[in-house]
Amino acid sequence: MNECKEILQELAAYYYRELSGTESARVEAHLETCKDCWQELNLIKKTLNGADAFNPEIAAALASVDWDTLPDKIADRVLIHNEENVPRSWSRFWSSLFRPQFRPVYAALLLGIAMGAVLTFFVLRSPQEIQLAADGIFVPAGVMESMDVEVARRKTLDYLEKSQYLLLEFLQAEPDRAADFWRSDFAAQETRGLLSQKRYIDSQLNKYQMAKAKAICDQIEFLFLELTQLSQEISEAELERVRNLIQERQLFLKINIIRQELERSEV
Amino acid sequence: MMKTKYTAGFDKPVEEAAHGSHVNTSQVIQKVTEHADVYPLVQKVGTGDREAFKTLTSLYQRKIYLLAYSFFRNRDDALDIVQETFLRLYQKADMYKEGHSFQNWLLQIAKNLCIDYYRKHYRHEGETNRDKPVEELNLTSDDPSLRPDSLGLNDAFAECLEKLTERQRMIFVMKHYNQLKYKEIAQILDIAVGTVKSLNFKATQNLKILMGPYVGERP
Repeated sequence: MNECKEILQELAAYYYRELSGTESARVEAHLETCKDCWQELNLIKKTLNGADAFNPEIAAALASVDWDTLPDKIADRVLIHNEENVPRSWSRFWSSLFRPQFRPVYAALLLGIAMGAVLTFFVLRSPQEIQLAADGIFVPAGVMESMDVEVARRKTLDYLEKSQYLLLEFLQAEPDRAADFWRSDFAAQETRGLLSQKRYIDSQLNKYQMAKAKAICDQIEFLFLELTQLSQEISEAELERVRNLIQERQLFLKINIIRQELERSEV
Repeated sequence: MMKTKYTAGFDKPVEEAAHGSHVNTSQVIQKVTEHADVYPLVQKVGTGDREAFKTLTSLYQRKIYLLAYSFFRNRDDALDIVQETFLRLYQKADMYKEGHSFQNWLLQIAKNLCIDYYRKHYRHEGETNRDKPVEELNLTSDDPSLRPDSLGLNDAFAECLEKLTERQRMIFVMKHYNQLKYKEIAQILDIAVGTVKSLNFKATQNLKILMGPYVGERP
């Protein structure tokens, strides 16, 4: 019975001659010995012959169409309709972009973008670049230091120049008005400015080991401190002595030498 | 024990009796063979070449019409399917891959259109019956449309065909009227050959039951 079941499944294929030689021979061998399967084949044959009754209608339907002119009609409708209504070149352009043969190109592009992103990430992560991003400009450490030295040099020169003018004013003042000079607002304002400027250049002169400039600046500072603090009580004789001291010690000459040195060492 | 050879009642040898004479449609339709140069034509269709389009249409129009007509049994609907199929050919020409059967590819488009069209325009008619197994249908009812003497055999068969499921019907139509091989049907439907064979067997069995009253057999 199992064989009958198998053969029944094959009967339609047998009718349509779709079985291989071996399969066909097996079915035929079974049919020769099995009345039920033979009758089943007979029924299938009758049914499918009945299906053939539909053929004349199909043949008439086929004959009712003018096949010679149909391709032209369809071409008119399809091609003209599409040219009018579909932006054909664009639709074809977009569909051509996604053709399978372009896949390697897209893959390479994606890979390139990914690699670029990774490299950018690592480069941006380096400390030097972070510094750059924070400051907005990139300046090497050596240049920064030389700029610093240059600023200290100029500040010192400025300090020395202003001090020289102030001391010159003092020296050129009439002996009886020397005390008044140090009590004047001009002298007080100038010395205050110079003393605060000295505080800034002190740190710079120490840092860059400008010893000679530091020594002369200290002397000037000391002198100004003394003169401003004692100007209320100081006598004219004492002021005269200070003036002589400035001249004796050739303070102006020393200041000039240091200024020249500083000017020569311009960065 | 000797086995009996049951050949009584058949005036033809076993093989001849089995392989019934085939449909006249094969004489009516133009037999289309796969053209080796069909691929360049399809490519030209993709660029809007009218002559290439017309050539392919004239080669395959009958095949598609035959499939659609035997499915719908309606001339206008079948012609709509033909036109729609070639419209799709024009739109999707660049999706056809060289080396594949162009006829199967085109019939696959036509088959999909038939199924869609059928679901849209035909489904509601007799829907309840189609959902039932064939065995459950009341074949001896008083419904005049089911009386063997009230219909011509072709109408009767068309009625029976409509009672099959969509898939069984499509496979039967492709096999019996389009005379496609199981392998070709499998390619068009994108299913295994064994499944096609099995579904066609079921369709034949169901038709045998449904057609019983018309061909003088008990259902």
